[in-house]
Amino acid sequence: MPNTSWLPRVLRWIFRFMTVVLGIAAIAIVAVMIVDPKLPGDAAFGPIDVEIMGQPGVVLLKDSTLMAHYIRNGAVNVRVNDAGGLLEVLKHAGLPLALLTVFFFGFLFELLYRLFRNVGRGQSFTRQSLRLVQIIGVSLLAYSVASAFAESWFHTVLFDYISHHAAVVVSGASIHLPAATGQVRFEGDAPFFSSYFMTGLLVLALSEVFRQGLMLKNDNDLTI
Amino acid sequence: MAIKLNLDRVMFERKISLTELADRIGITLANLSILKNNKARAIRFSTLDALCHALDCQPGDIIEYVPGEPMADED
Repeated sequence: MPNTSWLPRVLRWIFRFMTVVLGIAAIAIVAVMIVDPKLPGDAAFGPIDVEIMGQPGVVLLKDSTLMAHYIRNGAVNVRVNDAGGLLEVLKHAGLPLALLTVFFFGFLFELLYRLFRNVGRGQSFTRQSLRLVQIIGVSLLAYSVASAFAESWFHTVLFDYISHHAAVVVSGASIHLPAATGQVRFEGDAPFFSSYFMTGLLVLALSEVFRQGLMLKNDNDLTI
Repeated sequence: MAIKLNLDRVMFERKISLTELADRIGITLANLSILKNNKARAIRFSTLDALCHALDCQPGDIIEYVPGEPMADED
């Protein structure tokens, strides 16, 4: 039974467009990794002025995420002395993280494109569609764990670099950031209460609905 | 499957082809073939009625219970 609704068709093309965009992004990231650009030795990064909304002089950085507690009242001035080093950190820790994200979303949009191609043909309850929904669910669960670990690792590396190579001034007072412990910690509730994890569970639950729908369809198809 | 359709035997006795029977009862050749080859999961009363009418027989002539054969659970 062909589906005449316009929504699957529109979604299908949106997903195809996103796959292509993410493919281009992946190529760009890989190109940067191969070219490995470097800044001149005397390059500096900053100062960056950050507006903080909170009590001046009280900045909780210990045992917490790096960026979350910047959002307090006051003015923070960060100056990285060795911009080339920061770029190296961003390249070696940030680019793999970006590549992971781009690959995952490219893969996800490709799966969604194939799923909605089936839906558009009226083949929602087929073994292939069921398999696609299951793969999407499992991929989301896997990505929630992988991204939580990769992001925590990236933030740890970045914080470690900034704590050693940046001058931080809060409301005119220079502060010394504590050195990173080297331990990689998951941020907040990640990965088990992250939106990706919850969405993955939801999609896997929906895949069971698809499985039962497929069984009903098979029964119906063989009822003469 | 414990329930067996003897459509091919009844068709042979009535000397009627699959195509002709499909035309008479108004179902597709593919669906009639599923019935004939015992691949169907279920049969509608309307289909059974049409078959009995076209073949001039009783449901018992077409459907047979074979004890001991397990029900095939496909899926």
